[in-house]
Amino acid sequence: MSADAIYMQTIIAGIVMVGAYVVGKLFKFSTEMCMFLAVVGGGIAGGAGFDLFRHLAEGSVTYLDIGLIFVFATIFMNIIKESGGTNYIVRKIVGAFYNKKILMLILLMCVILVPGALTGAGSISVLVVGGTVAAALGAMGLSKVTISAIIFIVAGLSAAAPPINIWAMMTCANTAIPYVGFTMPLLIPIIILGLFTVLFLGRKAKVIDREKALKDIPEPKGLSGWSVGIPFLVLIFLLAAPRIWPFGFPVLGLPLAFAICALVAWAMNYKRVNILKVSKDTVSQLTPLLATTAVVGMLVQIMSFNGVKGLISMWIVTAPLIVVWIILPFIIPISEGLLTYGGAMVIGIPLIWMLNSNGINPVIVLAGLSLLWPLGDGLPPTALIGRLTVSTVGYKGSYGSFLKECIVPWIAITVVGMIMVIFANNLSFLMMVG
Amino acid sequence: MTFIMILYYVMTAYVVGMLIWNFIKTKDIKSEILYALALLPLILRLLRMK
Amino acid sequence: MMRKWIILAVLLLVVLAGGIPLYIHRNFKEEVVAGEGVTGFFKLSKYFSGIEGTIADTDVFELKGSEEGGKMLIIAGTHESEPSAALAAFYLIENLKVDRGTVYIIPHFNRSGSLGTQPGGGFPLYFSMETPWGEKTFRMGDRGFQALDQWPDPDVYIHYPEGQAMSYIDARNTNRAWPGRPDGLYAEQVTYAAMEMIKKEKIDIVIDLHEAEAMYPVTNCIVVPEKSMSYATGASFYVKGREKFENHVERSPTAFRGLSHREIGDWSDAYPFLLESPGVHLDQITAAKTPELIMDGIDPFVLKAAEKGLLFVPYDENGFSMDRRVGQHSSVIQEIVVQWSKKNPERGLTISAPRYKEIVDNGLGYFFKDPSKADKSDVYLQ
Ligand SMILES: [Zn+2]
Repeated sequence: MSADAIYMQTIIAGIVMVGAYVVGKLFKFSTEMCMFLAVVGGGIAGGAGFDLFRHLAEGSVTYLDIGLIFVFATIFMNIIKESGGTNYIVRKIVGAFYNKKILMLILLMCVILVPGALTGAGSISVLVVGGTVAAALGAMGLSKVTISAIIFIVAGLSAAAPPINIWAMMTCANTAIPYVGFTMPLLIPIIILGLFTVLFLGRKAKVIDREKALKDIPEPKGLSGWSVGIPFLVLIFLLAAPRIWPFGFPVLGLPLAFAICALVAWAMNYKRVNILKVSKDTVSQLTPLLATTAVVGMLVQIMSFNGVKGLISMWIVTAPLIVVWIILPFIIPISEGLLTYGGAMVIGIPLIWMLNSNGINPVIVLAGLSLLWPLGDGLPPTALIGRLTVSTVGYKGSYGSFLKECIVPWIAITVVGMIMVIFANNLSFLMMVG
Repeated sequence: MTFIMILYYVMTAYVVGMLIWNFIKTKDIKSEILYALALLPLILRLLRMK
Repeated sequence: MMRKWIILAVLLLVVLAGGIPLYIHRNFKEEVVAGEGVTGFFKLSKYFSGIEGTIADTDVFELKGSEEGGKMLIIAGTHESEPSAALAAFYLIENLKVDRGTVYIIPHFNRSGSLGTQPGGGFPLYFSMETPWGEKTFRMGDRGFQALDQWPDPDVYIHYPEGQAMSYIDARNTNRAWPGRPDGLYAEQVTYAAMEMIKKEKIDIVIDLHEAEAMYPVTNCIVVPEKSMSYATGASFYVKGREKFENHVERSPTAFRGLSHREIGDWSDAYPFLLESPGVHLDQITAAKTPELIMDGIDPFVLKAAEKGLLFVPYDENGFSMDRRVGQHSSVIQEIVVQWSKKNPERGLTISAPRYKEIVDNGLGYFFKDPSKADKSDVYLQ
């Protein structure tokens, strides 16, 4: 086939994919379904024929392990929540620090950061601790729109926070860049941005109304500090052990490590928690995310198969760097809003590949970009985490007014992320500390 | 097959079980499709096809 | 209710229509016809029984000359998504003549990797080649062990014994596992077995065959540690001057662990050489991943990148064909042997097979024998 014919065929395949996605949206299908239609369209346009089924099957397993991490980490967090552990922790914080406004804000920020950091999904932060933290913030006199903005932004940061950053893991898996050295390049900016977010948005907070807060957050009956603490100690042990005894400790993998923690948490609270129900509800909660990981795998497979990924990559690698820098702050969140993780795959992989072969530190770039990706979870058409936050907090105003409330932290995150991307090599020292 | 690998097949089967349970219970077509999509990779792994 | 059954039926259709081809691919056998040079055939577990009967065990072909001399081990299929390696191995098994010394050839070092393609990679399951007697078909493979054989991944892979932390993906990578350990992951076990073989057989030269992206700096080259440097430089000069193809020398970094060109030299008396040829199908920026792309390496997007000066190999509209890639491997291996034998006459080898030009002129397929016409005992299923 001539070069021109190949260009033509690839562009047509790309148009068919976009068209299938748009048609799906017109029929008000879910984003996962629209992406699936794009996959099928792209496969047919690429001439897969019967082999399309093989591509669907093979692509779907690409991120299987990430799906399992989601499931078992979330079962673990939900058992903690069901047992009353979340309420227990927040009540303790309120009880001890109710008269220290800034410390309260910072501690509540940490509470939001943990579940997302451990599971790699900001939605888990919202689901597991969102309600409880919202009650505490409400008792500090903050409006619902401000609370929504705080929880959304910090939950987004939590998804990027180490140890589990799905965008970085997926990109590394496809670019043969080690998923190593991310801890500090992620943690430091996330802590700084998290502090900025809670202190800026929480600037109008008052000293907490202790009675109101303790009334709004139900007291877990008969729960001891141990039954909350031990599962987390087990988790820390299981995450640390392979690094302490690298050649002696069996390879458990993250899904099994979280499954063990879930079992420990359940064993300590078996009277309070029905594990089958929690598992069933967790899987139901996570189904959109699990379907997304399957479909994103298919999308990557098909776009690689039909050359559309190559075409986009070629545009990116042959574009002047300055153009790339200018469009990134927009294209990264928008692609996340359109395709969720698929956006990272389509744009992130070629970008990282190109920068890496130009001698730019890919770990810092990827850390910087993964601050921007979660912002897209607030953007339509998916707005997955944005909508989830608004409904968890119970904010009744327009979605636009919620986004407007996010604007200052949004810009701060964009600026920090882009500084990391553009000055990656000057920031390489961040990797040394971790 | 190692013991840990067997545990992973058990864990996969557990998630498949939960998905099917939810699939049977749901009334909503959008959810049914999402369950099917989520099931695909897990079933392929359980059948040791990929 | 009806709707649920329809959705389940569609799901089942995709599982079967998509899964069965994967199952067939996993069980597809490539045929190789042993040439007159082949004198023996055994399993790598001969040197480490721990891998016996596991997916980590693999086949070794022995080509022993009539005269005693040095020994060379050729490893192909370290990364099974780099097919010119295994094809070069098949080519040598069918065509190499050994007069002095012994050559061992492992065509699928990571056998598990050869049994599936990379999820998300969009690669074809097979690719084939014209031969005088018809079409010859090969399995496309993956870079690392298949999840069906090794599951789960650790959350971080730590190299033994140096303790360097690497991506969890590299826990499946046979070229991050050297020198290996007997009770480690499969990749560590198979490299351990190979290290045992290298030490026990007193191998002089170890060749590790690869392909790399045209946009990746370490491509179209010979990667060597200090001790192999002079041989590699000599071979590189020779093929550039006499055979008119580029193949530069790259120094093996000392700080990057687990690679064959680093650890084999450090942990044994052998001299390692890692050969990279440009496999354009591996690049991120290619058009459709077709079997033809794997075979002829012609791609308009890569050509565009070449025009922008983004590639690390000479590239034009003729692409980088399998004939050229295998031809390069054949010539560079033979020239390394020549350089080695000049400086180490007492451990020298004398080997011969058609080189670069002859392979490019005739096409690689010309050198493969028809398995249906061959003596059954000479046909090996891989
Ligand atoms: Zn390789």
